Amino acid sequence: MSEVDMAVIKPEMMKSYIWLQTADGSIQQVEQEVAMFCPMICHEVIQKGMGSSKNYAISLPQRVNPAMLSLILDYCRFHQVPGRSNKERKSFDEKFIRMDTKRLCELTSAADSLQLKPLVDLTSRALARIIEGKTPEEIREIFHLPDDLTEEEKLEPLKNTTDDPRIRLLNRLYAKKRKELKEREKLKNVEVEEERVDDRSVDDLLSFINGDNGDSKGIKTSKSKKKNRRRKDQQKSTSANEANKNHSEESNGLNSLCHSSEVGQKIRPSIGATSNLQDVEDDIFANKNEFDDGDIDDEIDPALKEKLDREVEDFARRLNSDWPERMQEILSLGQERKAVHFPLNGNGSVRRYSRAEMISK
Amino acid sequence: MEGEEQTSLWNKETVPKVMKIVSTRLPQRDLISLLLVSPWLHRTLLSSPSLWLAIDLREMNNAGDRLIAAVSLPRYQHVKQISLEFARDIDDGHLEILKNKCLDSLQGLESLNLNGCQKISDKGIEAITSCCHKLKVFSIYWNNLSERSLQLVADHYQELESLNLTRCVKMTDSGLQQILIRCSFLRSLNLYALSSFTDETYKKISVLAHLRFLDLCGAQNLSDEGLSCIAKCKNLVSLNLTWCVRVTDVGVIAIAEGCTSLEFLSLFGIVGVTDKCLEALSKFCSNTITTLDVNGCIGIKRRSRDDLLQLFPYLSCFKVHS
Repeated sequence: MSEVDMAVIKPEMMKSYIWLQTADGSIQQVEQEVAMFCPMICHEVIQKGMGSSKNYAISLPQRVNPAMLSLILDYCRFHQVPGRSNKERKSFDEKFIRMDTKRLCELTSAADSLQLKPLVDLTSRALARIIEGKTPEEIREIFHLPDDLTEEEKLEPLKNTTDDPRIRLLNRLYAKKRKELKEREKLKNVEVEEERVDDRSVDDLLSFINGDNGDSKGIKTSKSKKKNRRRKDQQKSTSANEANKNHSEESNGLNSLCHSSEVGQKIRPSIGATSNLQDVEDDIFANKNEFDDGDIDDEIDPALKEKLDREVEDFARRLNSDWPERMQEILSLGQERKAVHFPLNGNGSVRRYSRAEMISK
Repeated sequence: MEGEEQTSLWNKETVPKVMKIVSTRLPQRDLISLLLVSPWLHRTLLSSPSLWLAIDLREMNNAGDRLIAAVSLPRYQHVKQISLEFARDIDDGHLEILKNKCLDSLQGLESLNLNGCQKISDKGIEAITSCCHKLKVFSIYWNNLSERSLQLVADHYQELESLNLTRCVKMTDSGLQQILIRCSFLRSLNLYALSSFTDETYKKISVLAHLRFLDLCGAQNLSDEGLSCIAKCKNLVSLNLTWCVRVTDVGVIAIAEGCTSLEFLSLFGIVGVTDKCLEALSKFCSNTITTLDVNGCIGIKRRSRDDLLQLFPYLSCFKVHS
């Protein structure tokens, strides 16, 4: 609706407008309550008295071009209305961030310069989900970043005068990497992961800290989640040696398939789950999703309950006679016990521990 | 030329700035991927020290070497948190090297998780206590550590806030008592699956005035007397008494009267408690209790979901132990 129309329809309404100017020079006026939703604009109006007329239009930061401003104002226009329910807002947000990655990036940048934190949170969460599990190459592709690193591999061994084990390790890694690259070049014509000669090459190689070798593809299916959990259970109930047998994929640090991706996958939400706007940080520190699933259906049906009571009674009797061994057995094999069935996730002690850890953090 | 300028702006400014914002939400693995994307991202991310405060080596192999390599990097020189949970190939030797070579970087360490690192012994703990002076959170689930380690922790970390000793079966009463006496700021104490402590030791838990979380699952020697002493920890929010088979109404009622902020309670497997204790809990803690596990408590007659909701209107979780 143009200003003229508004004046005709509601002449008695004294609507206030704020004047804004984008870096390209164009000036526009925006309803006051909408514009003031942005802290930066709010600040300019209140502290500096700007924005009241065309001549005193507020100069917006360079990162806010007209297209971005339009998006931001759409966001503000919706959210500044006080009566909306949380559900409505969430629904709006979900639809709002459906745009290509480049725009999402620009929007984050623009919203940040206007100090509009809720929008920055929304967009950066979306971007985090996009980035998760991707290789550097994939990230470059998504964000249209040039591959401007040096092509040639220059991994000079470091001089190891003090026979520092770390340096020995580094040189070994360099040698392996050199070898690996030579082999790769022979096999394919594909671009190789480049490293720089400067101090970055140290960092990059030491990304083996992450178990990263560049080829790891991010998203694993839920199958690997279960596999990981089972692995963890086995670790807890058998000796560490036995558990090692399960990890057949490990070779050396650089070449091992990104083991950490499994760790991450266990606790990361699946990409594309746009309905879940939960903060990624939460997922890192708590297996909350697993546990919450349990809580939704935590009622044991009566027949099972009776069985459980009997089991406990039985245990109580046995425990008093044979406690210490029993204890260890129960707690370490709890999830594998066939005697007592539960409708939920059987990894009782694993989840239990996670919950305990979550609380204690 | 404008196109080039635009591209240049995109690469060198827009993307790095945005990634700096996004990176606070990314796990370690993706952070490192971002480092490798472009030189400008690399520089921007490294200039943000708050991104590099945690080293996560959970479940990784070669963890010892990786840890040394990581702590040697300049970007981790202010590391606050290290997790080696179920990591493999890390032993006392690595910790010794850390102490000798990376002393400076470990000065700020506040949280250390050694869960499942079974090759670490008391010697390794000695190395840690001699180079990290500010630990607040320490977790040694299922480790081969003895009383000596507890002694070291008690000596060095009087400001300790969280201690997890789950399944460290070699722990003794005297070791734990040392901790109780000297680490008076403990807020969280996890003694899950440690069945050998005596009631005398449990009584001493009462000195932990700041305690909020206490896990005594499997504490077979815990009596009502011990539990009554624990009830002096007024700030207790979470209490796990699963399989504490000697406990009866007396102990639980003491807890109800003493810990009125209680939110989480498990009485799983305790056959000696009756409806009386539920009434007491309801009288004193009905506003706060949201999790209550009374499965297997055959002494309690009225413990259906509805019965419990009547007593505890905010109850949402009915099961803790499986």
